[in-house]
Amino acid sequence: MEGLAPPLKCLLEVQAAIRNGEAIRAGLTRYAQLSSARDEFASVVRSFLFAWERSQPWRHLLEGQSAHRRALLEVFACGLAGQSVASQLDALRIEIEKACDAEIGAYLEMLPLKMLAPLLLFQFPAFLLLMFGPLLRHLIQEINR
Amino acid sequence: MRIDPFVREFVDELALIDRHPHLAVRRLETFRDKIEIEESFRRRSGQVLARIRAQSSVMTGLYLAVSAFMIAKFGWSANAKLFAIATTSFGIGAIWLWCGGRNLKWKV
Repeated sequence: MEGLAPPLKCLLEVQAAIRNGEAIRAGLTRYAQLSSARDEFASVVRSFLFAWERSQPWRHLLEGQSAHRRALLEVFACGLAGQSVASQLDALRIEIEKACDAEIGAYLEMLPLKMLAPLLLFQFPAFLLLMFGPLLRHLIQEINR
Repeated sequence: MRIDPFVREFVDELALIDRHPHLAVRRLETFRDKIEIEESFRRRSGQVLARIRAQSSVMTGLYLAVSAFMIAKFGWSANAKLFAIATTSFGIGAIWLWCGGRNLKWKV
């Protein structure tokens, strides 16, 4: 979650390509090239481009994707088909940015709860052991004397 | 040698600009805008990791301080085993926190 959300990164790349007077395909290709191997959306985009270039069905790639990713690929398909999609991309970018902000907010709210597990299972017992272990050991030694 | 993705992108963009000199200014402006947007968003999304790291750092500082106090008070050699177990347990918790934070994935 440290970097940009993959669909937002892809969208920015395509918008930059359009502003530079390039085709949508150039932006998509650049996004696919620059993304890391761990980026799942990049592999979906690669498959989408591959299928589109060979006029193969690509809608099965939408399955399991989030609503924003599906919408983005649909708009890209319209753009690749020659339609003007600049305004749709602008609207979609606003939507995706809002969704990302909401996701960050939701995660920040849940963070204290999620951090409880390592805290309670490992770090709290470590503190207890550290503070009371030597103390108890010392006490037992004194009692035995 | 592994090149940083941003450096690679930067060099690629400059190479593209060099190949299309008639679009140089527009391309540079677009690239600058893109970097600005990315940076602004990266700052916002970095809050999650920053909070995890801050909390983990505070806990580690506290743990080190308590360790130093206990070692000074009760001695190291007599309690070495206890300290080792406590430190291992604390370390596992800290690694869990850091790695868990790094493996977060976007759902959007």
